[in-house]
Amino acid sequence: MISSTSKMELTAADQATLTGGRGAGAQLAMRLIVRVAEATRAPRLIDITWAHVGSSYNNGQANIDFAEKLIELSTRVTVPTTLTSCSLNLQRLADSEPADRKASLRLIELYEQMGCRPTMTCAPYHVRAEPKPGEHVAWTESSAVVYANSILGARTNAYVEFLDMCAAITGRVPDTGLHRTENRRATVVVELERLPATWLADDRFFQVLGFLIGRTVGNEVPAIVGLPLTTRTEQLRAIGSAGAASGSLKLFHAVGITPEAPTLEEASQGRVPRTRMCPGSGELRAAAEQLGASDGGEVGAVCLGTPHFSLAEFEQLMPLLEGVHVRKGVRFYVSTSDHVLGQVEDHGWLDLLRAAGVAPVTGRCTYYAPLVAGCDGRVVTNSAKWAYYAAGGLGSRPTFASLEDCVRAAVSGRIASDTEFWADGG
Amino acid sequence: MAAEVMRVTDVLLGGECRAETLVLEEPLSFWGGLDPKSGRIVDEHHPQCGECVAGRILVMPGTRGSTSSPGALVDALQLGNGPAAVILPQPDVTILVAAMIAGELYDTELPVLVVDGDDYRRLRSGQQLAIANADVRNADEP
Repeated sequence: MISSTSKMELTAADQATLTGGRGAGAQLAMRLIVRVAEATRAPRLIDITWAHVGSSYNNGQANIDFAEKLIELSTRVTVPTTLTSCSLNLQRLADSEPADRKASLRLIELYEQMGCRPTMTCAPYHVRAEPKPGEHVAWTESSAVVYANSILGARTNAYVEFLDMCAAITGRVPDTGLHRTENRRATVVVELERLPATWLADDRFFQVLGFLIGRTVGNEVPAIVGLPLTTRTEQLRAIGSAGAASGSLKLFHAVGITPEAPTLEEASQGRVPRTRMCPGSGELRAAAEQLGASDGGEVGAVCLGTPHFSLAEFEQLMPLLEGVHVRKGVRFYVSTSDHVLGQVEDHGWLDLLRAAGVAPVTGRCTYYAPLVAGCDGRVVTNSAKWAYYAAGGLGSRPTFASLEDCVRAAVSGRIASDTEFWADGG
Repeated sequence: MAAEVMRVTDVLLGGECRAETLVLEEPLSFWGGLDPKSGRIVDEHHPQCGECVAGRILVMPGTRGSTSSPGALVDALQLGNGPAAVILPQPDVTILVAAMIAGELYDTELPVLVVDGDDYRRLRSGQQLAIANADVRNADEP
């Protein structure tokens, strides 16, 4: 048993929780929060407004026992809490292995009982009003963490399973890491110079840039200078999710674009960033090749939606599907949340998607235990994160291409080559 | 270095044990990197892939990767395939959370200590260490 006393300065309310005044479940959660705060030298605990939890994922017996124990102790969350993706395709439950299906559904039910919303998505910012700049949240899922910090200007560390739920139960987290202003300043400048203009206008570039930055900057906070002011949210999201996959990117600034970076000086909080990197076209081309930039070939499957496809991305996809049909034998998956798929349906697009031969997948991602394992031909994706993670699970290198080429490949059975695009900007 | 006492800078979680060290040269992601059913490191890219952590004092630079990482360590501890203790050069939240959750759920004990950097770098696999909370000493036969 871990002690219920702390050397840290706690509020009367925290102290009451720690000594069991709010029940044994809240006490357990507060013990963890306080111990982590002490270990990370946090001066205090702070309030959060939203927890995004991954403890509900059926990773093993510990997840089930943890949830059962909390239920047994009549525990409930005290802040709005969303659940991250699960291992099930909620559109086709029958596809999953029976033992995993049973355990996963049980876990979702237990977390619902504790007051969590069964959102089952890695993109929680799609399912309720986004947190405001400066707002403290406690999120799990690397792509969501970097999105919250960088694009929304909200503040979160990457919360590991169990700890995320303890934050949801107590509504409190240690005031450390990216919750603190001084740790959010840019320490590396990434200057984009002399790159082909066609790259800076193309979704593929943002995926590859994120992949390269993530691999290079370690735990530093990069400020990117030179992105076009027209850069869209989805393109920023690509930088973040690719960088969180290839490295451990949790926060980046895009000068002139993201909330904490009106200028480079503000992004670096008036100090001089330690290092400067200037990725050349050669480095970006090499990174694209490493990710699996298309050199043409037969296609077996197309996977979109890592992280979960947004409504804006569906808006981009729908016109490409007009009047075409996915070729027989080619599988075409788009992963998203039930929530966004509901919006897709409201727009009248769901029937069109299905009519075109596209299979929406909700709840899970397609890169682990890939839905596409063993298919004939290449697996094509527009997501660097997907390409990076699926390589292991597929046993062969995925192909990375643009959204437009992904759709053309699904229709024709052949993926076009990107060699020219990456050689000179097309 | 018989009976040498190490400089412990932080006891993340106290406890006692006496066991043989296993030094990991790189951070490990427990998720996908540790098989709880055998206690073996299964991450093919890890230099200590194939080594078994069960009953060893795990000396490691920290964790990396997935935010779901603690679960596999908790499962290993519950199955009796977890390490006897963990020695780190800096605090690691994933390991602390795993150790605490395993304690809450299964009454296991996993001491987690942070030691001074120079002492950390001197540790080699196969050393016998005796841990009693903040007291860590070499217990090799003289």
